[in-house]
Amino acid sequence: MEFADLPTLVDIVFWIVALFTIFGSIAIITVNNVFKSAVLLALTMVSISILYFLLSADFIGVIQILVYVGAVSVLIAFAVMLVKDVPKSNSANNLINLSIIPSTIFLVIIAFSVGAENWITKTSIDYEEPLSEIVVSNVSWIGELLIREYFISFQIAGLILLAALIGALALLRRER
Amino acid sequence: MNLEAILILSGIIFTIGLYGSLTKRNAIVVVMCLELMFNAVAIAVIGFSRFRPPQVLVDTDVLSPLNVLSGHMMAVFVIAIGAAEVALALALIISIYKVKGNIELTGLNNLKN
Repeated sequence: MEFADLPTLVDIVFWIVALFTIFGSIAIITVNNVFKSAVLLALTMVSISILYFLLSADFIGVIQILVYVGAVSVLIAFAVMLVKDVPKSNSANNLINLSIIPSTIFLVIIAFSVGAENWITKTSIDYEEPLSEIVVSNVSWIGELLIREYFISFQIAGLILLAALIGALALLRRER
Repeated sequence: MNLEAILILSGIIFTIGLYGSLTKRNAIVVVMCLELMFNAVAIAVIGFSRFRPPQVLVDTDVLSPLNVLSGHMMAVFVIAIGAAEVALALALIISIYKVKGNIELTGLNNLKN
């Protein structure tokens, strides 16, 4: 084996994190306890943020931890309070065998379309190296892009968040 | 670590989320599986942004921030929409709980009769 064929440290960390993410996602839908699956969702989100750090997307990784582990997991853990029988609450409906068919078809389509394309030759960049200074220090560039090229999208995203907040309050308002 | 591995990983996570959201009886677990599907899409766009900046789409060889970071911007908006969706879904779950007394999605067939 050539020295260049040995896996680098980034590769080893990537495969460990990828396996952890896949098994965490499988465990979310297979454990019996909803609270355990909420905790597993937080752990899976942490491993996905490690994946973002490996892909040199620092800002997205930090935002992933802040939003998903900090906010979404707390909301879901709050919703677990509404469950009656928590230790046996993660049951499936009667589509459990039938749903294997569309899921398998989807995964096969994804695998074939990824395998059919020759990804590496189409890029002109040496993909082992970090792309440029833009990717290495991307936080300030993301801020500049958000207020220049993506300004309308940024404002619309803010409006959607406001509308979701008002909609949630309107749904839960007590009728008098 | 290459683009194929990341796309396959993203497809596997999306498939697990799809299967869970089709088969689960509990509304909270369905919301969790929707979040898994959102994150699978975000992984895919970040992978495209890291390995293959869409120069062919903009027909230039210049590595401007607009080319290289377009996947990052899409991931930012995906995360924002995911947060809004989970807030609304929680409000809907509480409304279902007020009406039905539990949050089982299987019993929600009031329009059937």
